[in-house]
Amino acid sequence: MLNGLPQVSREGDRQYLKLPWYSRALSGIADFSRRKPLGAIGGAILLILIFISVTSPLISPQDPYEIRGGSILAAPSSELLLGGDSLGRDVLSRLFYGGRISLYVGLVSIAIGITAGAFLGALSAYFGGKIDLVVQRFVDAFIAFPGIILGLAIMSVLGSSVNNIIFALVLVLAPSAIRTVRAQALAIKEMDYVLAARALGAGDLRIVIRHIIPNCMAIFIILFTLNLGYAIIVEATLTFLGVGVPPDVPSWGGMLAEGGIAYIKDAPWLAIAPGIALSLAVFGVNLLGDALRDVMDPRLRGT
Amino acid sequence: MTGYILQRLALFIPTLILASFLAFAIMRILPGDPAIAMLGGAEGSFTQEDLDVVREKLGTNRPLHIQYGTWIRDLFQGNLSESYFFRVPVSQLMTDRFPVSTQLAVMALLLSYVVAVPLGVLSAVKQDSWFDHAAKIFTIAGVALPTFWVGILILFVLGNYFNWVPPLDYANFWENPLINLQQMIFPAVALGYFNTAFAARLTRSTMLEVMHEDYIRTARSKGLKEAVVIGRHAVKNAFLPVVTIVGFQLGRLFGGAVVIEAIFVVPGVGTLLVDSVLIRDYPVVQAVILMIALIVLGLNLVVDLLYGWLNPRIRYA
Amino acid sequence: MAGLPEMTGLWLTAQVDIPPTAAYYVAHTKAIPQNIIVISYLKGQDMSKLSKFNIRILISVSVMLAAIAAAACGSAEQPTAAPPPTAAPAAPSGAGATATPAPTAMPAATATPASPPQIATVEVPTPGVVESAAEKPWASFAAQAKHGGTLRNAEAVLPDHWDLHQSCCNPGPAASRDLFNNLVMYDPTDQKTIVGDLAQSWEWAPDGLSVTFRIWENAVWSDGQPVTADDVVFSLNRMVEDGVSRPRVKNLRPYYDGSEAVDPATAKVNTKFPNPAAFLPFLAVDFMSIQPKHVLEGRADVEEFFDEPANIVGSGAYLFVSHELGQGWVFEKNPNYFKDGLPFADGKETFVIKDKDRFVTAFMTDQIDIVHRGSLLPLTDMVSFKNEWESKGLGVVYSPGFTLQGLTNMKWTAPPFDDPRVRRAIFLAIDRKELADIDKLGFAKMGQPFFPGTQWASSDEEVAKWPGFRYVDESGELYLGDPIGVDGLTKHPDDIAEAQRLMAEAGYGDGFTANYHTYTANKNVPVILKQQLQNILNIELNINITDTAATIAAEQGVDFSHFVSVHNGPNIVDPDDLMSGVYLAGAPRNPIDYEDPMIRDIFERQKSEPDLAKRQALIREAEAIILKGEHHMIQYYWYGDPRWIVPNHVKNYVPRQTVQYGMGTEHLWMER
Repeated sequence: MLNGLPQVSREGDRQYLKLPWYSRALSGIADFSRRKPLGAIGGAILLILIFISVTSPLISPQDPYEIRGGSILAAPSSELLLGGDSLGRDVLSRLFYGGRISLYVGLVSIAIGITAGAFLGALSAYFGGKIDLVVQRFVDAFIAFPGIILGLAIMSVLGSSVNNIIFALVLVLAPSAIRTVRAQALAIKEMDYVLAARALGAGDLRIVIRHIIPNCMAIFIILFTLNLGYAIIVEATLTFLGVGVPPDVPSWGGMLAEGGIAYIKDAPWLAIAPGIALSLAVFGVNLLGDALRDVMDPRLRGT
Repeated sequence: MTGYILQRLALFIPTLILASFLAFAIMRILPGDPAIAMLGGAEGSFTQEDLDVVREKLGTNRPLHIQYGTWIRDLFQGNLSESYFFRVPVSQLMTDRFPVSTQLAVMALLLSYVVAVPLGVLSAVKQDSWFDHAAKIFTIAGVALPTFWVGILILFVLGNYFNWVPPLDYANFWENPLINLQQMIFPAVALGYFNTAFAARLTRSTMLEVMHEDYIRTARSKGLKEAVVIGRHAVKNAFLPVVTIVGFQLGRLFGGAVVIEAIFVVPGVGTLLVDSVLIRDYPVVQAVILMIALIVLGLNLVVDLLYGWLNPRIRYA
Repeated sequence: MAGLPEMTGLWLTAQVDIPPTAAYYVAHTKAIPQNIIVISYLKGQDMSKLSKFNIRILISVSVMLAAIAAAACGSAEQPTAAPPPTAAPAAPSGAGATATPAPTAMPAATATPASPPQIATVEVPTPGVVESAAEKPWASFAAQAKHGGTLRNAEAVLPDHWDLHQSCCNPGPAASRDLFNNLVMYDPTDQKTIVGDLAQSWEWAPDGLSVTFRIWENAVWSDGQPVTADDVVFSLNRMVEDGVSRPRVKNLRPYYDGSEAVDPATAKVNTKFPNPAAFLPFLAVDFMSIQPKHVLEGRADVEEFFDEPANIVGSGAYLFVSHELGQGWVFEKNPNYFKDGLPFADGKETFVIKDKDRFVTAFMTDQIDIVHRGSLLPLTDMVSFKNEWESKGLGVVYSPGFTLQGLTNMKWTAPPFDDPRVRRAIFLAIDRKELADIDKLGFAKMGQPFFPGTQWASSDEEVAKWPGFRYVDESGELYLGDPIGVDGLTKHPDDIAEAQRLMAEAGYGDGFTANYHTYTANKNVPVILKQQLQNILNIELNINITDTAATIAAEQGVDFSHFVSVHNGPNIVDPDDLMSGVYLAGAPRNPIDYEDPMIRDIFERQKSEPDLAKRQALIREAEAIILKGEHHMIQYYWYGDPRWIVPNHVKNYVPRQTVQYGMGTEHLWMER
């Protein structure tokens, strides 16, 4: 966000720093929005979805868990705005609550998985040698293990719960992040400015933190945004396979997995609603991610 | 170079051992006993003796380290042992199923790269144009929609609007390519969509980066035509990260095939793998995972070599 | 393993199968306004349409019978609407039985509790009488059959075993029933009376302690050897063999007392007590195949167990050709089959389709001719498919009657379930109507202990008065009828109060937390139970979904925590089967051996009771014990959901009583 700050003179700088933090943040956001309107839209979509998810207990018109015998696959009505699902539960309320689970699962597993993976990848690339050798063997072994099967197995061992699915996702996601970031870091490591920094006597940690990691930021953000969708999809697929979140807990993936051709024909709202929510979330993250990447990539600065 | 390849091949061994150990361990940690499942499961009123007989036959009554050791030893003797459930040698299952899944994965990969690379390059070159935006929607839908959902949607459209779905009886590509392609093209599309989207987005962003690199500026300032700049310099460099993920994507394709193969009744290794996990057919699961590991590792090696070729700054240390 | 809870769509679905009422089947022509069947039900509309409905059924049945008769007389056009159930020769008796209003499938039918559904009952053998005439039971339909074509069949799973004696579940016989013969079978044209299969005739000894079978002398194995009485003796002995796994065929153990080959075509079979009513019905179940002695003798069980299906030597209508691993198998017509003229198709090809949507599209695009084993689709999908299929007049989707039992077992040996008061509280508190309405969309009956709608059942009115089964209408009046599918009913407040009192008395007034173990295909029941138990008893359920193998381990008590979901699909409509399947210690659905000593006593007394009324009285006693609600399991409903899909061009199909027999297809033909 730093370089989203207004470019001002020294005098302007002083004035700017006198402003309270929220004004600074606001002006930062305003500037970001001016420069990257699409990114701002993406961020707004994401914020709205997160807001809905967080406030779902307040804004849900119905109890998402309440089973209604009379509303099984009911069409949208004034009582159930998006109709009922196969147990007569309110689809709209489940959509709101489902966002909590899906976004939580997606964001947390990505945050842990990609961050840990990126860090390991950068370290592995930078230090090379034995560390790299060992880390890469583990990465290879995990990557070679099909992700769905790994998830299936982990979920079967641990049982279906939200936190277990996060754990499974971290194990599925991290290896690819390690590998991709390592590749990027390897390239950066050979860049002139890193060689120059080393020649000037910079320490390992300094080089990793000041040069390698910032220069991996773009790829990190891409991975983050691309994999958010993937994480939600893996959650959906595991739920489709029957070992995802527990069946009473609403999640977008689970709601999507429940439908099939029968629902597309007879009760399309069941498939469309979570599909749109899922796509919106991924869309928002991607727009924001693209914009952030453009802003943060040091090589794109000033362009 | 040869030394590098040999060195990398040598590295296969620890990775494979790790993968084999992972496959072995995960199957043993999973609750459920193949002997119980074979004895009729919930329906069977078997005795402890029955269980012992079957466990003895399967060898699952021996200590875990012995089981693992035996498996590895047999492996080195080229003996993959026999499937608990199908009652045929695992090697036969593998030779039956792997070509099918490989065809599917390769088709999906080809389809995705044929679409993704031009899409990504053009999006980057025409950044923020209508083409870029359309491509963005297409690719975001690709990464947002679960593969199984895309597959079901394709089936729905085919069945509902064209009153046609691919024929059921699987035909070998070499014997009946026409039927085979009818059967494989739709699962390949469904499977490849995610990869297309993923690769297109990656291509676009690396292209954008590369196009701001000094050497591109230099190329431009030399007065080279834009097409040459893009084609000769930018694309080649933008390819780097995209190529990196091929091996990883192939692994993902084998994983994604698990669902798509079932939806389209493709007798590949994905369905075999999941079925075998579900019935705790240890020898099959272990062998299949190891085989996938071998394929992915081999591909990664090729990728690394390509990588070096594309980026001469990497030294084979 | 394939047979157990199996795949729905992609994955495993509980696959137990069960019987239908004959009436329901015949009534189920496309003439039925399908919107009434489900849509109005789903939307909870009023059920007044029902009476109209029954009249329409009667009309449609009459029209249909007339059409069949016309067709049988050789008239030109086959009406597309008429499915072939009780094809011409069998028509008189079959039609008589089927003309009664169809009570089963339509939830709406429950509005008329006075007419209990008619599930055909098992005939009790009469000693000293030859049961099967020497005439060929298949001659009646063979004359009008159309020959040719390949019957394309769909399965969702692979068979657990090709050796039927070792097979646990109906995917086994669904795959290989056509390769073998039993001694006796259910008549394929009515699926309720027993006729000879390999047996040409049989005769009970006057003392009722043995039955002598005469087998067809022209029957041969596929390797050319003749089928002899030695094979029969060998096979029966193999079925009851001790110390080995005989998941289904072991049902003969309580009855069978050895046999001998009198001459090459005659086998005398002894029974442990006189006149066992369930003996012949058990012998007619698809698992009880006669196997070749000269092939299997001396082979260890496990060898057979691990053998390839290509080595199968059978006597049946089809011969094994090939097995495409994982995708299906191919049979060809047996040219030397002893039932002359059968089978009518030139071959049979089975495709294994695991995904539910692929399965639907296969039917819609005419890639499959029949599915007649299990429910390959989740119920909501199946209902949607049925509506579309039948409204377009493409065929019929049949459901069994109410002989599949939905159960939840409790770990009764550990707290809190070791307290009978807790078990009774749960027994009283659960809302069986809601479970049936939502999970089975009304294709169910209340979970009384013995087969509802049969001679072993209590009437709907009696059931409606039992604690735990009681419902009141809006004015607080006790509802006397089957409450399933009826609007405006709520659980009797006394049941709820008593359940809460029992929990408080047991020291669980504030409830407790329990794990509920279930497999992927059965996830609605725990979700609904969770809400019910939470609201009434403060019991908090953690639902733990695992795949089949892990659930089996849980069911077997290896990892059984608190609750585990089970289904029971009896082989035959007889109390013997139900009691030894669920209520007695050692029953497969009773993994930690709960047993009330009185139940064992009643079981022993009823199994050889020749007098139906006395036997029924004994069953009432057993029922009273189970209704104390202290058993190891909660039973909520008996269900029979639509599952067998038969397009119009497949002829001579009659749905069967239970899902464990009648999977052979030798009697079917195709006519477009």
